[in-house]
Amino acid sequence: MIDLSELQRDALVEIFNIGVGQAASSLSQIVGEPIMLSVPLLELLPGGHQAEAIGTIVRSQRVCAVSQDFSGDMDARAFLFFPEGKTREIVRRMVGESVSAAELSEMEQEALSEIGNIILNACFSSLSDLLHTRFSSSLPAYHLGMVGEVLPTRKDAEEELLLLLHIDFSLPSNEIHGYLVFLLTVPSFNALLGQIDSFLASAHGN
Amino acid sequence: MNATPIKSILVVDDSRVARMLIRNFILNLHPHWIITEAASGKEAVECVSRETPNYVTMDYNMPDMNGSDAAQQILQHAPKTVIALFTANVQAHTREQAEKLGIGFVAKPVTEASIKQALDFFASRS
Repeated sequence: MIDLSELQRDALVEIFNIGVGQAASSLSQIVGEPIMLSVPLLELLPGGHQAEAIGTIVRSQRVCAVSQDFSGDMDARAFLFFPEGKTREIVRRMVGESVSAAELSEMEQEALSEIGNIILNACFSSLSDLLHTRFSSSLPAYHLGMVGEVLPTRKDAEEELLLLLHIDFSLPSNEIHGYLVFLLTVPSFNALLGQIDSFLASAHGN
Repeated sequence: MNATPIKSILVVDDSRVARMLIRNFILNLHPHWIITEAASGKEAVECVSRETPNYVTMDYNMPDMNGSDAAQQILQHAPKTVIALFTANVQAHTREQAEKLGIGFVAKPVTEASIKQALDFFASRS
């Protein structure tokens, strides 16, 4: 089982932290109130047990999610999860009070995809800037359903790792929490570790 | 010979990597400065109660106590210490908190440019 050293873990958390911080700033402007960010926690899980793990973290097996594929020196599928039924209020804050409930419902998918796009791209921009690597990204895809349906299933699940980044971001006016999850293949994870090691070596020597 | 006076600086960040980067960048520019590290807001407050530094770089999102609360407590004890928030939490709300406390605000990532920004702020308040 691949594991991270304390310093590798710390570097990854710090890099994602910078990305999420930038995304929160954009989101805060969109919803018109500060976004509360928790201290991030990173967990590495073997493939195959993803649905249970994510359901436990999100505290709901039914979720609303936005995913995006990133490819480059390493490939990853990134997810932003919300517990189902909690997202309407975020969209309401984005679009304002004047929009009817029917319109709001129509807009929800598009609005959440945009939020996902902002947050997931900010994380990968931070990875790209600090690790000097490039990524191209797919368009955001919106999902609603059971965690197991949202996550892709692979026959060779042992070839995959789940990088769980618990960054809990919430609006103070409502109890809305979002969570980030990155799915990587083992070779991609090794490529990421190599880049983190180079980053740490330059951090030591600057 | 280093012409600038030797200063003491407390680097507060829950990330070891961030502390390491900040320390190295500062020492590159000011090899004789005295650098102390704290991994939480609470630890920072304790450090300052033992010895007052000239400057503090302060992360915002940390366990136990956030950087703004820690800065407030430090300033009560050491009003002459110059503090700059050094954070990834770049929201307007966080900047406003820094402004209210009269402390600096520098956006992460830790780079040579952001370190210089923090040091310029310190110099302007010294």
